[in-house]
Amino acid sequence: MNNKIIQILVPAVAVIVIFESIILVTNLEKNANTAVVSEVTPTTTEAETKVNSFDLSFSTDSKEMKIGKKYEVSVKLTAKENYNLNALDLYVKYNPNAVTVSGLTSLKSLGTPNLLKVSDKKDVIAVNYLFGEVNGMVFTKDKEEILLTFMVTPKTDGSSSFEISTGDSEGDSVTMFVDKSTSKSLNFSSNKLEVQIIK
Amino acid sequence: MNKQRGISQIAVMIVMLVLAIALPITTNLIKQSQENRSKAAESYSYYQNWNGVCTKTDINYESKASCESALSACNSNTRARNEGWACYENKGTCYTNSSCVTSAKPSCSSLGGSCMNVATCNEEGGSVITGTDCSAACCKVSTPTTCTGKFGSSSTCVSASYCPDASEQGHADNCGSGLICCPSDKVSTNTVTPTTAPTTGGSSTCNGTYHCVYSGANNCAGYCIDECGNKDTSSAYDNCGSATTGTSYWYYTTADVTLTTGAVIAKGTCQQTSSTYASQSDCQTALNTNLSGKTSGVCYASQSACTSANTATGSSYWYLTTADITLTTGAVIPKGTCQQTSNTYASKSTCESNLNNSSNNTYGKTTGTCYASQSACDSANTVVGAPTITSASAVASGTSIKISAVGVSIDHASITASDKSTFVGNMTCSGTTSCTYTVSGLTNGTTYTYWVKACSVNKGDTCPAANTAWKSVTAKAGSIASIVNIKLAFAGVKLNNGQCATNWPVTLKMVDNTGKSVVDQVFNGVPTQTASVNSKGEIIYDFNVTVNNVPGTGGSDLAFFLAGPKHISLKYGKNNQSGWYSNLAGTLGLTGGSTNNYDFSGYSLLAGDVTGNTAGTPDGKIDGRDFSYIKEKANVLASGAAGTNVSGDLDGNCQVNSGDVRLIKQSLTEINGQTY
Repeated sequence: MNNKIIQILVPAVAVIVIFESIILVTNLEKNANTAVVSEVTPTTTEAETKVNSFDLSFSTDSKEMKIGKKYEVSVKLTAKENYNLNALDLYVKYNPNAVTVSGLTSLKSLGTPNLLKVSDKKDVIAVNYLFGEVNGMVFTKDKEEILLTFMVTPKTDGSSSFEISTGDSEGDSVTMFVDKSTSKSLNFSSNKLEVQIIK
Repeated sequence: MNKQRGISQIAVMIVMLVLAIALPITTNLIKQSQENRSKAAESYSYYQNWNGVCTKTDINYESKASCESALSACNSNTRARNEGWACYENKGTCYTNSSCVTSAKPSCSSLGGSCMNVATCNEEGGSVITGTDCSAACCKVSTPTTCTGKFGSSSTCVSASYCPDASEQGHADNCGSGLICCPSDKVSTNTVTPTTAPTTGGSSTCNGTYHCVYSGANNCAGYCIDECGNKDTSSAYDNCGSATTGTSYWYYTTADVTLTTGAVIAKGTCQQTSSTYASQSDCQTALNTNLSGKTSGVCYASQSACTSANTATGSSYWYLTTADITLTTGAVIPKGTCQQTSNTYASKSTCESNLNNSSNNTYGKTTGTCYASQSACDSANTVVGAPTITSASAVASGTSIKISAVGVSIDHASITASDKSTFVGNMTCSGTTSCTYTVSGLTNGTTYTYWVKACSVNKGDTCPAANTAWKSVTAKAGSIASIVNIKLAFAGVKLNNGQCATNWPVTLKMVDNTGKSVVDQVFNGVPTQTASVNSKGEIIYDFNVTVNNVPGTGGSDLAFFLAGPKHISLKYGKNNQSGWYSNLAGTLGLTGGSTNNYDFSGYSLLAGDVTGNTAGTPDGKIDGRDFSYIKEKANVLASGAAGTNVSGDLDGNCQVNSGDVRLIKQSLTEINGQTY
């Protein structure tokens, strides 16, 4: 008789325990979610990131250019590690009095840039990407990619240079690789392309 | 077998029962812990003081009640805590409730009371009136004709002057403010009060607290009385009228002295005093008081003694003044002037002895060195160390312009007009680094240029060229305050969807066509939502600021820069602007003393500045970092309650979502299009 009662009670209590587990723990999770009202935002600064994450380099067929002829110049990008980026702003500074820049071509695999323009207000080529993918845009370690190609037509003789802009006097034209996980700009290294323009 | 099975089933049963009981208890404990943490997160850490300033408390409080309780218990800053303070969860909420700034409260005195603490009020037998301007309690004490101080009911409430003996005055009485309790038999019945001063001669000087009471012809039949009307019979200073007897003396004038009758006593005259004095000392005191030191300060018993004492032959000397000296004529001998002595002296040492004799030289404002000639005086005071004015500024206020100069080693500086030679005035210097001067009575709207030069500590306003550090300042004499009413909109904040855009502060800066700030301040405030919308359905906000010290009237070349909490500074150069303004000079006017209305709601503030080098802190730019920040927030649909500031929420709907990502993209497209 007792055994029969226990045989009935054990599953009944087990059901109660399972019910409690589901209901109470679920409520607990709800509470936990609503309790996080003010989230703490990390306040790391760029200074903490000292290692260069990307290398940018210029390449061209010839560093000696004749006035009136067209030359192709490329900006290559190599990631030092695998990175997921949410945005990429690239600004190439040059002297519009010495050369004319045209024929901008961006890296197809990155999609359509948000901005791809030879500026008529500032002495830069501006390329901006906003990566809307949930995981951002993946840049693979050690894979060299041609980020930008453009044509240069020299106008006046002498030396002229192209370099990656890190900001002008108004705080514009800052080249940045924005990391998805931190929304901060990753460090990079770059070279400067010096060309000799002859008649 | 069955028995064993039964035991194991009982064991399982017991474990199950324990679990069934323990689970709800454990869950409840965890829930309480979470609630506590939740409360801690809703900390009330700001309070608003009486003038509407939001201040962060030293510690966070778990609830509004505990915050308010702690603040009200604090003794410091009682006015802030007692009048219109409240605790707020964050600064934004605090702004919203700016209406809690103290409204005008009735003054305690107008209600017949006076401010004092409650204990004193009770002691005085008064009643406390609440809600007045008192930082402590407002106490109303009825004023009885008789009082119950330490003298019992036979005492009377009177002012202190009618109960002159302090030992008789009651304490902690119930007479109320300004009155004391005095034994009735000690109350003075004297009602005599001093009348007008004698018209000629005499003195109003009485000893201690005695008054001078004048009467008779020319009010010269005066006498000194105490508070109870008793005459001062003991003092030689009973000289407030001609009642005093004594001797007249002779004195030697060291400069022309113009009497109030208009008559002039020539310099170098041995003159008899018009009053009589009890002693020679009294005579000398009166001389130095009445004739502003324009005598030798020595009273002689007879004319012959005076004459013989002042027939010294010799030379006049030169001395350097070490402070500005104002003569009775109103003329000023500036500090650093080489001045010739009015007397002649037999020797340099005699001259210096005279200069350094405090009774002869009541000013004491010379170096005490006599020089044989002006050139010797000048050369002896060659400036060591040239003072330098490093910067000078001029700020217009109404029809005045306040000129300020800062520099090194300056304790004397002067202002000249735009021609550099017309002296305007000497600056008042504080320490050796800063000086100020206010030019008044200028014409509104007129631009004035002044030159400021630093001078030697010894040279007054006669700055040697070698030490001249000219700085020019220019200001436009302005008018009084202006009101600026601005209508604006935040991009994407639409009607019925801006629950979290209710307290977004904005800043306003006004610049002229040179890019310089028109007024030396940035205006902060929280615009208020209206029921109106612009053509894009965005809520129109009203933003009103009062601008003081508007330089000039009718300016028409101004541009306003407006920025929001998540919005970059945007230039508005014309009324009803509907797009990017790229001209340098604006076309906006700012008329002093008037209300200036501008509608910028057609071109809403560009949203998206939410982060920068420091995560979550706007940096004045919208770039890829802001996009990334908002995108990541949108991925988790970060949200908050209505009225809060949700970081990354650009459209003010209390949640970060795709709409905010779209808004920042629009902002970037606009900015990039205008910048590149």
